[in-house]
Amino acid sequence: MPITYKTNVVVMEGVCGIEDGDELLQWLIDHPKGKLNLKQTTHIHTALLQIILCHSPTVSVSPEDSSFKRLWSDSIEVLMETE
Amino acid sequence: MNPMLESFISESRDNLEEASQCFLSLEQSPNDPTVMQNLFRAMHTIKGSSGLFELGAFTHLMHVAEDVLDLARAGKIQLNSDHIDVLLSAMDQITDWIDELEATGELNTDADNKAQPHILALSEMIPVEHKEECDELSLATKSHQTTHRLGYSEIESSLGCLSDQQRFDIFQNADQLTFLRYTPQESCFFTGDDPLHTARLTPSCQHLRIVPVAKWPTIDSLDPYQCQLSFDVISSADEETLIDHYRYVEDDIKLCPLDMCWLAFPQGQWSDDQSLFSDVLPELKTHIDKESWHNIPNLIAPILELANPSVYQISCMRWIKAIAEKEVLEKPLIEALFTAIETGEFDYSLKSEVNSDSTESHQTDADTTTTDTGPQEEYLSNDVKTLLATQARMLEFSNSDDLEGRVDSVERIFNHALPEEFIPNNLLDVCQQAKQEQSANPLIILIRSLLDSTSPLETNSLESTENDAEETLDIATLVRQEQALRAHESEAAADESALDQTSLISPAPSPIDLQQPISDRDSTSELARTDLSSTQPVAKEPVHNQKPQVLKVDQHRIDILMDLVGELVVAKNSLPYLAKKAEDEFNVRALAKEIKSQYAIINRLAESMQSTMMQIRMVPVSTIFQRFPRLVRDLSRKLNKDVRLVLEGEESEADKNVVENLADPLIHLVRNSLDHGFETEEERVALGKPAQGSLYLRAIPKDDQVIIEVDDDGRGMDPAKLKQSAYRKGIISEQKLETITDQEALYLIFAPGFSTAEQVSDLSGRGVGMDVVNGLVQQAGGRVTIDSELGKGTTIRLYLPLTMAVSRVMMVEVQQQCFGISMENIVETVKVPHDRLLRIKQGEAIVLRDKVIPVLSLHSLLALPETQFEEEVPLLIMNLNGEDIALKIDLFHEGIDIVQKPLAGLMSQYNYYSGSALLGDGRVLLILNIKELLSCQ
Repeated sequence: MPITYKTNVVVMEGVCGIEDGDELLQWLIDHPKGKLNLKQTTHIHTALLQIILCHSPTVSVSPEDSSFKRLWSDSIEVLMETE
Repeated sequence: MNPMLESFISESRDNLEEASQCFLSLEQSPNDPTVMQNLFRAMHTIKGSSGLFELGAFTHLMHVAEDVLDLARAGKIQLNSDHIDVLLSAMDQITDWIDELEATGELNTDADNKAQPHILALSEMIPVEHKEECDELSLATKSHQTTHRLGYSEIESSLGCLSDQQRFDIFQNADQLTFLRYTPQESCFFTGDDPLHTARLTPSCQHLRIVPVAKWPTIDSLDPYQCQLSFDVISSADEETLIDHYRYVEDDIKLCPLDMCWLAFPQGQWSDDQSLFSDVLPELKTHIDKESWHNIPNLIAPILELANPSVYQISCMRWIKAIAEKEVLEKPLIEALFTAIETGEFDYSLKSEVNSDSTESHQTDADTTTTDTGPQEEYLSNDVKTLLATQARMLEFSNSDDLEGRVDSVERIFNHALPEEFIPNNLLDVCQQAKQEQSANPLIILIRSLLDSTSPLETNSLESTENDAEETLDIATLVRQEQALRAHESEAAADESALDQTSLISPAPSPIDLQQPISDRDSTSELARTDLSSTQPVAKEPVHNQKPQVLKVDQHRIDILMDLVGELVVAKNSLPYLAKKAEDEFNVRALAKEIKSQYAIINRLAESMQSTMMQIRMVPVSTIFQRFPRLVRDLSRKLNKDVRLVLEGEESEADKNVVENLADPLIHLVRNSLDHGFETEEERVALGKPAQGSLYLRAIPKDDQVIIEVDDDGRGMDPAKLKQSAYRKGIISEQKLETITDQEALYLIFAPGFSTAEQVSDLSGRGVGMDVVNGLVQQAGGRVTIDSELGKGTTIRLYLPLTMAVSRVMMVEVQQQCFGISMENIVETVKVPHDRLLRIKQGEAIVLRDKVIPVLSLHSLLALPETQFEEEVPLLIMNLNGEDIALKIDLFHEGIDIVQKPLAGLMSQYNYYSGSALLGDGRVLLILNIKELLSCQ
């Protein structure tokens, strides 16, 4: 199960595919203040990325995977800050 | 066969059919955008799908043809009939290959050789002035690439988003760079793409920038399954590697080599404290002037170690050092950086941008070119617009640190590059204001107002010739086509040209554009906005979600289903026998009644099933009529006869087999008609006929038959000539020559070995045509009639059954054996007293309603013992080839519907049986072919 929904945090682990899109979107709509835990994330599908970029939730734990960490800090975080 | 290949073949056939029709319509109306669009789509689909298989020559040829069409679509080639000939013959080659693929599953090894002449012919169509771009195209074709290029102006904003450090790292890490923009299709998720994944895995990726295509909606109205992102990738891999990585989305990427120099522009906070480096400046200047690059790193290195890298001047120095180390010896660039250390103004990127952006490559050196007067001023305004837009963009990206320098440099641009009348009066005040407020906004607003006040159209009228205006129109059309085409697939071929020309025609991006990151989509829609609003109302996007509700099924499966239904019909026929048995043998009447009522239900279902099956197999005759416009066109051009083909009633339907069997005879007939039937134009005029001949192809449904008419207004057939010719060839005897009527003479053309044409052409007149036609039509269960009037024209009618699947036969009994005789030829059944049969020599005859009809005995025809009739003789009156005959049989049975099966194996040699059928009680019924039986006698 790559995505776990806790009270106020979504924990994304490993490779998160497009099939989690609906649930993630709904969760973020239901939890506008919800946070992201990306500690174990290695990849998220473009669709999920769009949901995250659209909503710009707070990230509670940054990614550890080096490649994803670089992607997140170089390419994604920039966009979330400008939101 | 690979099911994918199978569907490719069947799809391509449809597309080829459509393409060839479009070609013909293009010949009539060469500028019809709808036809062009359909044609392009058909061709593109074939080419695109062929890429799935290893069909080099195939794809290549399609590609070249598509290139030619692309030029035609852009109005660069006017297609004429000769062009169409070449394109059609290329399509014929493609059709041949499709046939080859169907037969063997692969292309012959000589495919490349076969493609070559077509490719040559196609490339000859390209006018000299477009050769260059097409050479590029064909180069790209060699590796089957259609990747699109980007210009500097398109990637500039992306570079502006990189921090100084990021650019510096990229610069240091690589020796060559490629910039790639990947704009996935909105619907790409549905095809299983994950663009982020693809982009992340870009080989030797140096930087990945994700760009939302539009502003995000609120989260509750977000559709996460429409891809709204575009990806800007900087990679140190070469283009080929990148194209290979993106090969599945090749249409969605654009790329360009990234000049390392484009990365080198300073960024940082201007420091007034120059003490740290002022000492080295003179020495640095000397080195630069003397071009002793190797001394520069050592000179600068100590300062870089000490200084704060976020200082503007240090950033300049760092770049000078890096460039000197890398030996990217762009002296002007280093000089520009040096100037920037002293003045805080970096001018290089502007120069390079204007140079690389404008295809007319006009040198706009902001430092040296002052506002020259005369023709150059007109020339400049294009570039200046780009310059201003770029300035506005750069102002947006510059942070407050280097704002002052940027404002100054904008001011200089204004003063130096703009014609005097364009320089705003309040420029100085605004610049001051910007510096004071530490915000570029006042200046950006000023630039925009300037750009807005001179709209693109004005610019055009100001400086362009009529040609340019025409070009604008063309592009507007192009964009509309493009949008429509997008509805079906990503077709970016024209994008590039559209984009390239945008920079020429409307160099001023609209304000909206300035606020958003640039992407492919934006540019296109912007183009649409600018051009369409200025020329024509915006065309509505076609509705593209209407998918035809058609199921393509292999005919074989339908045939199996058909057989099963046939067997069901036969099986249900056994129920009445069962009911009879129950009543007679077991005396259970109630059960028999029950069986009968059940039978009624099953009968009803089976019959409606059967008729539905018939409906499924029905196809409109248009499926074969479609190929005639092409045939008539080709032949009439070849024979130099002007013939107009009129198709009528092509929506009439008939069984697929019937329609397919019809194709060959019809081709024979049409060819004959064109070759022999029509006079040449001069002859026609001399005869007082319209110069253009008319050939009508009609399909007329009539009862359970469909009549196909081939009707021409040519010279008609001369019965006397036909008789003579037939006599000379020994087809008819002298006696027959005397007695034969004119109408009968017409039918002589069906005789084997008959040909009236004095000269045998390669089209027809080999004397095999008409008897083959007759044979084929008869095989399909039909017949042919001819009407011809000398000098007026000829009408040939083919009468064909609507369906061959179920035929109605009459069962007759001879010597306790049952046979079926097709109902088509049966006129009536009579029982006559024995003594009314008249004996004439060896034969027998009967006078029926004052008409003498020869009587033949089926017994003797089938070599069965004769029956001695006591009282009445049952006679079957039939009409064969216009003559009545009577057949003596033993007993009539009922007429039944049967599913006729051809005889297989040894039996297939006996062509006096036309087939067999299974009866309800399990017996096999042989169907007699009476015509054949008589000719065997």
